[in-house]
Amino acid sequence: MIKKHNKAKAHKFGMVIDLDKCTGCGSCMVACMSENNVPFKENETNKKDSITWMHVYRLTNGKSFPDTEICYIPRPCMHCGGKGDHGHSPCVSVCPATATDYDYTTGIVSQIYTRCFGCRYCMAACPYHARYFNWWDPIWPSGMEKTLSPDVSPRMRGVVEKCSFCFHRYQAAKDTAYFEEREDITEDEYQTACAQACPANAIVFGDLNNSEHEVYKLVKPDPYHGGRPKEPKAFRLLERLGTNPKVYYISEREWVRKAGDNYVKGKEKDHKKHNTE
Amino acid sequence: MEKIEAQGDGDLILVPVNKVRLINSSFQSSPYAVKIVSDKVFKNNDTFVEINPLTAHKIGLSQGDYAMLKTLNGSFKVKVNLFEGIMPGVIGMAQGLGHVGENKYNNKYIHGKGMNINELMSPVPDTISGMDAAWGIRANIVKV
Amino acid sequence: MDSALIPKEAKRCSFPVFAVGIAVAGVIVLWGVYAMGLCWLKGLNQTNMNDYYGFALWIWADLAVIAIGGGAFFTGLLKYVFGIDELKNIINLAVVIGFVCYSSALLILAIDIGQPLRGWFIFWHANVHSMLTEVAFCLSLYFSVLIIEFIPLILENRKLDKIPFFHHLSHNMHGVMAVFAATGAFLSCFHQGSLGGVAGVLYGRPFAFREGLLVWPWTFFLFTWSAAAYGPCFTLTVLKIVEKITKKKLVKDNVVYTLAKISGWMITTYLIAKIIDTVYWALVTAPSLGFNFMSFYSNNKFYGLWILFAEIVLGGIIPAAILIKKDWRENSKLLILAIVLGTLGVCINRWVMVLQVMAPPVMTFDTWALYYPSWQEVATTVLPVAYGVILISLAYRYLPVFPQEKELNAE
Repeated sequence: MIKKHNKAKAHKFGMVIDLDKCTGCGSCMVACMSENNVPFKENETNKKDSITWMHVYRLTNGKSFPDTEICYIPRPCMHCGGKGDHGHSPCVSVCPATATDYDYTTGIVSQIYTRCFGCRYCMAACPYHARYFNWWDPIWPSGMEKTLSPDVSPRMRGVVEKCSFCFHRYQAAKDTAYFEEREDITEDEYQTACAQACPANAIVFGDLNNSEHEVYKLVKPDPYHGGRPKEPKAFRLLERLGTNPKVYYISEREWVRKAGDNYVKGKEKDHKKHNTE
Repeated sequence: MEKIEAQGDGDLILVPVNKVRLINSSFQSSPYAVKIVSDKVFKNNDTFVEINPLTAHKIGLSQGDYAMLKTLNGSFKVKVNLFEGIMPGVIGMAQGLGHVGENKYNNKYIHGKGMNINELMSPVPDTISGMDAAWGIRANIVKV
Repeated sequence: MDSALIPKEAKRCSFPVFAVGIAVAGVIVLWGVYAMGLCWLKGLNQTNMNDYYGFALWIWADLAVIAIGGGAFFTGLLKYVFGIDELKNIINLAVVIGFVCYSSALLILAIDIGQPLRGWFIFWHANVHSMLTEVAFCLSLYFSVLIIEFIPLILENRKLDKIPFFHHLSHNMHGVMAVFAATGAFLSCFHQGSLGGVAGVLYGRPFAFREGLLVWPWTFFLFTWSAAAYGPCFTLTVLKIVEKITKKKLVKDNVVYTLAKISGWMITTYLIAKIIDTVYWALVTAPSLGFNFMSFYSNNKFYGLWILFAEIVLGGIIPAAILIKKDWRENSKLLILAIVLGTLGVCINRWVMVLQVMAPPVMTFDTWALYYPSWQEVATTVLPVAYGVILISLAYRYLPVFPQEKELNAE
């Protein structure tokens, strides 16, 4: 654990998404794209090359009418802590040019656009499909350049991009705290665009290392097991791979919790194992 | 009490479905909103309709099939999306597609995408209120 | 017309005939260069790759071409380090093939990355934990070794050999070639292995992920072993093609059979390790991550059990059996079957470890994805094949690639 000079603990920014509140409206997706200067093409119906740092998936419980239920799952970058939660995220470990790196003071996995040479190894490594490649150069319709956020660099073709937990907002919050001669930032000073935009308050963002923060109270991350949630209604996607993601999901519905991971037929009870503490 | 029936003949009922990412009126969705509409609603030049798998099976339709959707007002060539959550006997189609822009208002990012279900629908006057009831219409769908 | 450049007392077809052959290959090269230009100017949207298939035909081509070029380092190791002297009669061909294969891999990599002008970042900003870093360094170093191994052969061209400096240079280089062969083998173990490591470390992809020894997943060792085992199959395949086109016997049978036998035993031992690894992965590793073995093979016709059968049985057990049994190995038709199946077998293995990895979903609500290459990808992949044909043709025509050629074709 890296301690800052004022003896404050390192941050571990994370997200908790309540899947029973999510309506699938897509406000988070739109807010993210406009906040982060994400490009768009005329035809975005091929979802395999459509860049959506935040992406809302739709699941069903597989039952027939009238017992069909659906659930929407917003999926940003998981900012995986990796095996042992030591910062060896699947993507960080494999990038040959260190264009993506794990920041131990915030827990955020960065993406350095000017360093990336587009080998796409990180995309092969990520099981969440959180990483997107710029197959084209962005074209901003004339006049739209004025609406771009000045805090986020636009990307040219040939580089990978992904959710940054709105890192530029963290930098802005730190600047404000510095000017006000404060050591640290408060919970509401650094919020991601998606959390801010969600009309149902389904997305909560904060510091998982800070027991005062809402995210901590909702899931009770276990520091001895890579941040695994102690709250039984909470789960992380693909927990069993050992990626230790920082995005948690909560649902009252068991079928939703089960859909978060893979189980060999007959071993579905495994999903209860890490949620019974 | 007068009962308002869906117009036309057809074994199924076509209803508009409000997709939260599409504005279903004359206002237009923004490019970012159109970008995130599912590829099971429209894809390239194809508009999808939602049908329950039981209904589809009876007609001989499978996921992704092209089909002719016909009401008394016209017919569209559509693509089939099977969805367990829609009631058997009902065809759902997104409302809010098919915007067209002309001349300087033609925005290639939002116009010309999908078909406008309003062209297939027919409102029925409600004699008590004098307003139009426009919810469902009888339709047939056949594989092409 | 060019008889002054042809090795002494060697017979070659007339220059116009040769020129026509080169021109045909040249047209294919031009087509590939055009596609390459499109990719560099317009970007990677010229391919059918997408966010689900970030690794596709080109990465497969890289891995396959490096695996089949493994004959260069392995034959060098056998000849110079283990002293199997008769292989000196085929080592030149193996080196030329290796040179073609590795230069092709580097070319394809230059087209494949999104920002080719930043390619040097892999050296300058290297991440020591990444398998791909290891690949880049060892591949580049090994390519230099291949150049060094190729130079003496070029200098032995009749005209160049007349220049005393070149004559002495090639002679002296031959003298120290063992050092380069050993270095080449050492480097090859690492880059062949780390190409396997590229897939094996992906702990987010249960289809590819393997446990292993310290930082090296088992695929690391399997890739080195398979490159050494199957590389000679490709060397022999090229030899047979050259012999067929030139209508000459160029290497004595005992040399061919020696290399074939060694390849056969290497494939056999590799298969034992590979089968154990596959079974362990299927029964232990994948289920521990929540995946049934059959879930990877029951979604679509393309990725069905047939591909596993093709890789291990058709491309593994059958060629191994033919090559280790003397009577079968010395049967010319069976030998050709074995070396062709072997070459295909290692290519299938590289496809499985790259492209099949990308196809199945990991998240439960995600979808399978299939892929086929665009014409630009095909053209740029065929480009190195055509270039290889040209280079090998030039080498055969003007350089003493086969020491036994004269003896076998004396009138």
